Amino acid sequence: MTWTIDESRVRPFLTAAERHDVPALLWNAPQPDRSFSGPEDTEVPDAGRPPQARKHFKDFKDGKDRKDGKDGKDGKEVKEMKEMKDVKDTKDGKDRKDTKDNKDTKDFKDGKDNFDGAMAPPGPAAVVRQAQEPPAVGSGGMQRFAAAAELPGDGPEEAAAALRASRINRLLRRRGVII
Amino acid sequence: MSSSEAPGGALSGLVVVADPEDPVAIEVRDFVRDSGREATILDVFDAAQLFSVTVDGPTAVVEPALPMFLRLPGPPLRRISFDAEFQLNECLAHLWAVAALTPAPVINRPEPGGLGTGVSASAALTELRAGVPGGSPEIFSSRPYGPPGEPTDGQGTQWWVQDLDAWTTRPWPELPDALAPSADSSGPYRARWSAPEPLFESVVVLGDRAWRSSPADLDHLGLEGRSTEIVARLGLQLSAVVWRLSPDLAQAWPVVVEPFPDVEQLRMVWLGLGPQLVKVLFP
Repeated sequence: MTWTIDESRVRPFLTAAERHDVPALLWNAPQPDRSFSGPEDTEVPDAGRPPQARKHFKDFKDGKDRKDGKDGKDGKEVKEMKEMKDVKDTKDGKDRKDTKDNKDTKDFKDGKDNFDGAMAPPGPAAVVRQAQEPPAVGSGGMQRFAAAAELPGDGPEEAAAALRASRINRLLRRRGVII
Repeated sequence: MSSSEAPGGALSGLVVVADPEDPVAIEVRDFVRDSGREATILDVFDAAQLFSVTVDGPTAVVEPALPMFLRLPGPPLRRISFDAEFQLNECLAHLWAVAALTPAPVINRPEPGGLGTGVSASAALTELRAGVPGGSPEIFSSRPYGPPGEPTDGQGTQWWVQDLDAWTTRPWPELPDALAPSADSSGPYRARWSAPEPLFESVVVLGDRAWRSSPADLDHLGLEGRSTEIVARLGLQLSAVVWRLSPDLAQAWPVVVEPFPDVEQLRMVWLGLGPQLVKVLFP
């Protein structure tokens, strides 16, 4: 049996012009403010700055080599060993890949279970962070981060002090205590 | 949300499906381009129109088969237009199929259960799904709520109350105006135990690789390995796990799993993460 569509009866829900307005319609409507409070944060997010003024990931250094997420003070050999250790520690194919044993299939039955009603896990747009720390400006900024990172770490108290002074701690604490 | 870089011709390279203003999407696109590959950012609507899924017998073919990086926006908090929301859901459904079926690498590939992840707004529920036992009790309420008894060992000694509207956190029973129920701040609230002056560490995970953000000597805690296990159980590929550490750095507890780490968190580990991200997307 042949089946034809009467094109004259097919109408899109939205015209092309309306479709391009949909993102603005959906996300720019008045919604509760989701930004973090922090009186000292007044920087405008990078996205609004012209490309040449933006700092890129590759321009940021925490004053040390973070290639393998470990302290870069060791030599190449030790670094390689550490990298192998990283892989060994983080790769446990049996325990990690077999996620079925750790999944409650009911939780993953449909998308609704993963979005807890009004308390939906937010996408990146909803988790709006307060303005970021001022980006590093040339070597001065890198030296500032290096100074914050290279506090003496001998003993748990000193190590805790170094952690508390680290950039990540300051960033997370500025957003409020995470619970 | 501005319009995305809707392509005029055939695409190759990485497709980042995100809000075109998303700083992470912009940085990833630029980094991939700097490494000599092509990359573009498309919003949900343009990305959905780019791909087609053809079912041929027992197989489904996705065209074009391009590496993807999904940073899909959360649903709008309020429904403004039924038609617009319908179109959004149609596009998301199509992208779900595309990202799930494509043989190309996908960061944040959807799980069979949906586009969402195992991460919940409830930390306690997330811990349960991640197989992490024994976290602090957690209370969601319409008004600030005090602690339900005494904390157990390791939970911390301070009860913190978070205003989920203003996104501020205060120690109980301190309730400044920002947290006192008022016309400007009506909650809801979420409360949990933590330390009076908590110490945090963030671990960014990509697949089976992980990078800590601070230079402190915390190797003995094995945070990288623990983070990759948690993230894998939650069905994520790229995420950040925030840990709370005891004052003597002898113990650590996962506090929150962020399925969409922000640009500041990723910058701190970018020297390791960036090249690995390119390797994963372009094997």
